[in-house]
Amino acid sequence: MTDPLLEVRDLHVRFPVRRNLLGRTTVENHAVSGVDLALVPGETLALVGESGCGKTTLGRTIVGAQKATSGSVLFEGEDLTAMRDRDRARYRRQIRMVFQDPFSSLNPRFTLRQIIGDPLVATGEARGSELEDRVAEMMRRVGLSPDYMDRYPHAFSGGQRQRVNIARALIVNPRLVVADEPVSALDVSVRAQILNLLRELQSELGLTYLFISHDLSVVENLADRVAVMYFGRIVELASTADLYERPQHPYTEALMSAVPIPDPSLKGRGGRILLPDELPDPSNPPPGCAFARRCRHAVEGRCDTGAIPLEDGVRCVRREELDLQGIVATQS
Amino acid sequence: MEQTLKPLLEISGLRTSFDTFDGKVRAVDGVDLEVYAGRTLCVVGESGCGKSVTARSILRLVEDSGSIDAGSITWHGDGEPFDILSLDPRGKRLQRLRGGDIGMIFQEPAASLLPLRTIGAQLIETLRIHTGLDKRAARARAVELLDAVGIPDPKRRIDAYPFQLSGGMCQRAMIAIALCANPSLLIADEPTTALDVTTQARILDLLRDLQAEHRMAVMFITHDLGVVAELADEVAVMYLGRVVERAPVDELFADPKHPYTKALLASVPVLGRDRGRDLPTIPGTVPNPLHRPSGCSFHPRCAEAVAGKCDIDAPTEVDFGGGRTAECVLYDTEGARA
Repeated sequence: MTDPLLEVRDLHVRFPVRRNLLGRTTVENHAVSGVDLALVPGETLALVGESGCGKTTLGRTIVGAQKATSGSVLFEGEDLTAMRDRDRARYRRQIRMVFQDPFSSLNPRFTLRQIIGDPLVATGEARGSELEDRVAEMMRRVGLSPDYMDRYPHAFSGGQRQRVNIARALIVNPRLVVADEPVSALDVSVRAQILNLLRELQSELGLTYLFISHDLSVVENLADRVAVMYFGRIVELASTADLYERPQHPYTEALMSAVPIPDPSLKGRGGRILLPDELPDPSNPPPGCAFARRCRHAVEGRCDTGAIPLEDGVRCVRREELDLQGIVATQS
Repeated sequence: MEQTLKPLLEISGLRTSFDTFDGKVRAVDGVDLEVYAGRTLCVVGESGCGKSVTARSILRLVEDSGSIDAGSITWHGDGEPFDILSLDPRGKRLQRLRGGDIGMIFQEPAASLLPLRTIGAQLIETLRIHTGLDKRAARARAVELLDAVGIPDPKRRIDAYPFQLSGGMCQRAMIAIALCANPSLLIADEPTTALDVTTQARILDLLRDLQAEHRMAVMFITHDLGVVAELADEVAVMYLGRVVERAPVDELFADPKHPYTKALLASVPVLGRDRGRDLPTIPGTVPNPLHRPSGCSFHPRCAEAVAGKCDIDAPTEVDFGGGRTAECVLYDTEGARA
């Protein structure tokens, strides 16, 4: 097996909610609680989960936009969390991020040339005509005409802005791209274009993706492996085919059964699992499995005590007893 | 068979436009739609296709810079049918229509509830306006309604403020408000888009149950084809202010007529179908409605566009019978492929 490009070890991120008189944190929200992950070069690992599960926080911590409370993020074996800022700068260009909202993530007062070229200017890597050449080259690569270089973002549609976002991330030749819901804000007809572009750029440039999304059909389309997050923890990690066809965690099963499938002949298909709305309190995580209170397979005395480890990619004490329903592949 | 039924709501030739700094935007440009009692019409389309503006026009909720320029919206509820557009904007009848005959729920539940009033207060107010119940009876009814939409512990939650509830719970409260006067029609504008899939599944189930119970008509606006397949009886596909195709849901998915519908259905990744493969795409992006392409507004992106035809004349609507129509020159007027 190849060495991982990125390794996340026992990562915790907590946000202070309330402090006492002495300024000590008394209540904190646990956003990420002990995540272990490894990405091998060239693969796409997707992180799926519902809002509040900590997937975005995990992504932000990996790119260095958020400080880890404890644990480590290793890039090619070097621990980024232990590094001083100055040393980390070398790695910043290797790990880049693409954001969700193409409307708020581009500075409206900058032209595309400034936006896309900014990482090069900031690192002092290119200027003048070389800068222009590289920006133009990058724009062509993501499917934008270099003629638009001196226009402002407001003149572009969501899909085009997302291309700008991708160009800005890729201009410094990163190895790893963390894409946080890159297609969620896009129109349906444009989404496929961006997904195909991401796939094309990956094979062309040998990129590794950490793809964060709540959309299971998009994830199935793009990912090689999938990590399902619930309440700050990975509850299941498997190859895309295994996870979709043979989910082993009840949460994965429920999540997949809830996705509406664009085929009216499957209307009211059996097996849809309705979850109660009770979410655990992030400042006071329950013992045992965080999903237990919503899980129809939960057993009192087994699921609600102790720490449940992630074994063979599944964090469930009953994983060997359950027979869960996956997605049946359809022919089209 | 539905054709013989009288529709509950009939929109014909609706045009709504907005005055903007850059010029007049024709957001809805000649829309015809019918909604039948007890059935669900899904209106699908991408951003800027006019689906939300159409819905808001029905209740005359178009903002100030906008105006309804032409068309009629006929309400066939009980009594004499009348044109909603001819009602006095401040009159009693329109007030009764909004929230009384027609309930509406919106995309962002937390943003459409008043943040400074409890959900109970907002629900009780609506109840008292539309049903004339006294304070105590309205409160009792409010608790029942919150219970009916699946809010646990309604006796306590009735005094909760929107920020104390999750998105799914707020949407349930919105549904309770929209349904409190037993409307004949519910307009739901992307009610589950901001919610997680597991919450969405429960809200869709709730809407389906409530509809069956009250024999309500539902006009459901969405961009999610999965939700359409799940919920719709009839579907209207909109593109740039016009309905380009109408069909019963099974037929739309099995045999889409309009090239836009075909392309849209193909480009959406489907669970279990599209693992790891390149998706067919629709080239380009949705044009700015200020610069609407001439002829058929889809022609610059259309794989089947006929040069010299599609870019010049606006296509006429072809009626295939059985509630199916498409606006495309590929079909002649008898509905056979030209």
